[in-house]
Amino acid sequence: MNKILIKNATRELLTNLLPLLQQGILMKVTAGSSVRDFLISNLCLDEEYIDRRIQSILLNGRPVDDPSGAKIKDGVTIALSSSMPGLVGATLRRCSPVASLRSTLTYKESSNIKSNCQATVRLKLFNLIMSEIGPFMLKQGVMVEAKRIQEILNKLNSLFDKDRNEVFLNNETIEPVELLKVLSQDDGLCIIQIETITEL
Amino acid sequence: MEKILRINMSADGGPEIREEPLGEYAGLGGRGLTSAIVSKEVPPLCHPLGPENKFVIAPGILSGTLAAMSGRISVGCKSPLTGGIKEANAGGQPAQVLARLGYAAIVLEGKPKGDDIYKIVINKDGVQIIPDNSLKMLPNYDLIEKMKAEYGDKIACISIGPAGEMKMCAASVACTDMELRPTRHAGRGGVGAVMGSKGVKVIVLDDTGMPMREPKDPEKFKEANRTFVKGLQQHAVTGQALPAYGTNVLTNIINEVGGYPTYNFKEGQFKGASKISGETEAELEKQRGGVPTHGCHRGCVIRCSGIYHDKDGNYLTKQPEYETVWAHGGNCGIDDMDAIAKMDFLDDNYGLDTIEMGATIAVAMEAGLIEFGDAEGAIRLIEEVGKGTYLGRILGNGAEFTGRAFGLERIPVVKGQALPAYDPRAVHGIGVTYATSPMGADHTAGYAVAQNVLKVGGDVDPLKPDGQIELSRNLQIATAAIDSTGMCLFIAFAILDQPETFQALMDMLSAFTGKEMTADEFMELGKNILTMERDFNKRAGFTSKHDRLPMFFKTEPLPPHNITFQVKDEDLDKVFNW
Repeated sequence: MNKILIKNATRELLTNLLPLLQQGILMKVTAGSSVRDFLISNLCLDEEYIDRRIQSILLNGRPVDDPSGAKIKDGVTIALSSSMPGLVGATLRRCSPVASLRSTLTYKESSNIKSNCQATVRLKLFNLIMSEIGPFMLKQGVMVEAKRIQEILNKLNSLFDKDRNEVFLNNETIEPVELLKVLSQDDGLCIIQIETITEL
Repeated sequence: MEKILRINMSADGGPEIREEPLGEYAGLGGRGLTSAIVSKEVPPLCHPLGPENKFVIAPGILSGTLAAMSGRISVGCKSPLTGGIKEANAGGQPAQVLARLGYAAIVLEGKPKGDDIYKIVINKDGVQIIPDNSLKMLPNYDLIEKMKAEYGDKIACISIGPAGEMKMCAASVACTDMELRPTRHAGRGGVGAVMGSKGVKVIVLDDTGMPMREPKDPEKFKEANRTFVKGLQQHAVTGQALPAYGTNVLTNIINEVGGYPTYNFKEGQFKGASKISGETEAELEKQRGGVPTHGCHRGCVIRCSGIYHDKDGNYLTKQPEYETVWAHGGNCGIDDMDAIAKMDFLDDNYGLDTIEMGATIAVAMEAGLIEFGDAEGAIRLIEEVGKGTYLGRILGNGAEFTGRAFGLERIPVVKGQALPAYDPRAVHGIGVTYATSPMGADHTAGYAVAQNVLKVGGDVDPLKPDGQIELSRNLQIATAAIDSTGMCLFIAFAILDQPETFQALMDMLSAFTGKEMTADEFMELGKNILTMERDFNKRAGFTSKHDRLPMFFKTEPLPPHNITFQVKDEDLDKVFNW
């Protein structure tokens, strides 16, 4: 798997890469752990942030009311959102007073989950959660489809060029234009990590 | 707001103006007032475009005061789209200005004998109604520029575009925003066609020299408003998510749960959703010098609107909202934000409801008129509507009319009005409201999320699957009441979580009127409005059969969760049991 490191990234460049997170990144986690454990252990979020800020947790597109009871399986998608407007937005909130309006959609835990083996999870971050957690995740490095990185970097023009950024592919320097060529031929996953000029 | 302005367009010798005291309508505002007048004065079996129908415009109870968020204006009539009673509301400046001019409502009655088109000018010196045929078939933006040149930039306007003049059932009524652009629309139900049938193109309002409306208890009012604003600003939805991303912040999450109607309600997820999400839209606006955080009227503290620039950095339209982005985007398989913004501009300019037009184009796509995903084709279809070609006249009359014209079975409408951007198979509760609202399929009819504060009908366990009927009932009641205050429905989110914010609203109403308003009285107001509206529809021939979703929602499972709409008909019939 290719590993990309972009140094000297501006805040603007970082912001432009955030859409990677709304479409989803892949993470290796332990199967059978709860969604709450995943948020604490893998995303390093504190309990207060989870309870106050993350108002909607979706597991395979189903609203989760109890993140401690919902377990992670291989191949699941987890999406995180702050509280949303609209009646439907309100129904999707955890334990919303209007949750019964989406009762057929609500996540229900099945008992058949293999524990303690590795699972791959797709994590999607939306709205305020994306803008608050996203930059730190990009700084740590995220795993995504190479084609999606190429698609985004391709549109950045002057924000991503050799005069501004130091770019490394698998620890070797590479010209941005060359990196785009490599990515266009890569049908697999790669890891992208961003180092910004200023502290976040 | 002590009087009603009535203009009889049928009068011999030209339109006749008269002013009346409020009389039996005293204490009502917004939707409460429009529905009361329509329910009492319009024969339910009349033709919506005939002289017996009335076109009513009413600011809310708190409009024209210092109350934050009080800039909604209601437009009511018998709807040519649904055949039932209609209230459509809009933001923008006219509510505040009309209220300060002292009018609780403007009622257009009758029908002009000739084919002259009129403008109505209202300022501190009085009311004039003037024939002006130079305005005929002007699109909204050109019309407002002309009014600005003539009456200055301190005005607010209520107008129709060519769609309203052509009396199309998807025609909207435009209200100008703070920049004097015709971007805020009372969109639903073809209210623009009824204004067009009265021969009125534009109402020009100028409140120069008029005072702010004064509450009975100014100190209590000021304090309540302060608490109310604080509550809105500290809440994550009204203080952060909506200002940052606008209503289109919903795209990602509704798509993720599989409730985002795609390809004319065939699927619940759209692959291109992230390209047209609120997050993407806001970033694009920032990059191009637009504005992602902007109020639609003075006194708005949520500021969920914005300004959208084209690739060259020039103004294209206001920030397209969630419903618009969905209707012209995902529902039509289009993921090009610029194309969607162009369609939003065209809708505003011709005076069309963006939800109805998006739904109509998706129906036309299903009929094979153009392919799903064809953005240029979709733009061309709206232009056909604006020009009034034969095809445009079919499309401009909405999804149901178009579906019938092309022999389709899958037409997503209730009472003739297109469903908005949430698939009822994913979230059954919204389906209950779509089916039973007297307005036809309407996402705002049960919007006022305040169940835990109001507790009407007792507590509902949120995690039990029953209770959808009771919730829909209570939400519709609360919404009808809020629609009467002139308050933007988005205040509901802060009310959901913060009882003190709800209390501040009650205190503002009490301080303004000098009469204590309790939560029970507030809900009683909502019930009364719904009762009047249901009664009108019943007299117009509506039965329980009209309170149903189209059959395909019960028979076609919606991917990815493959759920059908499962609420029983007999349960739908219980929504208005009180």
